[in-house]
Amino acid sequence: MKSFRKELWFNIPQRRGLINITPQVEECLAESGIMEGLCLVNSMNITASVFINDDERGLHQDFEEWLEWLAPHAPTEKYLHNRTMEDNADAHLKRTIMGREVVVAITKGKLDFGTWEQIFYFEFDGRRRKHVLVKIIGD
Amino acid sequence: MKSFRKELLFVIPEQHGLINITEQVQDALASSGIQEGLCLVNAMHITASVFINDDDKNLYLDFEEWLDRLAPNDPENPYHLSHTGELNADSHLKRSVIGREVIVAITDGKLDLGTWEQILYYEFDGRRKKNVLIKIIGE
Repeated sequence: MKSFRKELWFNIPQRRGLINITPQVEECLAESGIMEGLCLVNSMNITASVFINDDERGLHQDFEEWLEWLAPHAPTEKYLHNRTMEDNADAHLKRTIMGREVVVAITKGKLDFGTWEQIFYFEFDGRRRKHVLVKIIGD
Repeated sequence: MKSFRKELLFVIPEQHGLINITEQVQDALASSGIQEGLCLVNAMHITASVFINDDDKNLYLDFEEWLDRLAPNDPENPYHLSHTGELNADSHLKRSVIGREVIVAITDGKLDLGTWEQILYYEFDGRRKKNVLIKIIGE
């Protein structure tokens, strides 16, 4: 069984941001030489998500507004976590809704996706270096 | 390392629906001949979920009401996605709460599930062909 590991690094210039990372994961897969297996892609920080959905701008705006409604950033003082000089309690909650990771099947050397599936990195507490892990196993 | 792949196809006759797919996944596992490994089961569409929970009709109604509160489908208050003509923005959000996939351990040729764990397919935008992917790796 082969395995492959790579970290992807980001530094989003705003508090929140969404990036389509499918091409980067596809490159990892190509480099790995793995033809059949599983590919784990996860956020290595606890205030960001990796998830799969549609690459459509209106929907991305919907996600942003919906998450702000479910777990608003402000007022920061209402969160206990923020009493420790942090202001990112909402980021921990938002990422719990969107998820930490995806696992994608690898079939014939490709990500085994439905038509509209794309992998996204969703930053909820940006303006610093954050990373995503890609781990692929198989033959 | 062995690998096995199968797609399940569904056409749910209403907008929403819940199907217990545990037996179909067990059948796939039996076909695979794999005794030890991991089994990924994921929705291949971005408006449906695969998750594990209790197979109980009342719990399904609870999920329906709760998800409608979390991500309402209200024509008076349209989502940004609706500018593309799609009216299923809430389906994308609901599926984000419930999740895309599960990974189940395979032990002694069986799905290593707790007593009440059942694998469920949750449709949020039905009335058309939708697929679920099963990918099993191991030995």
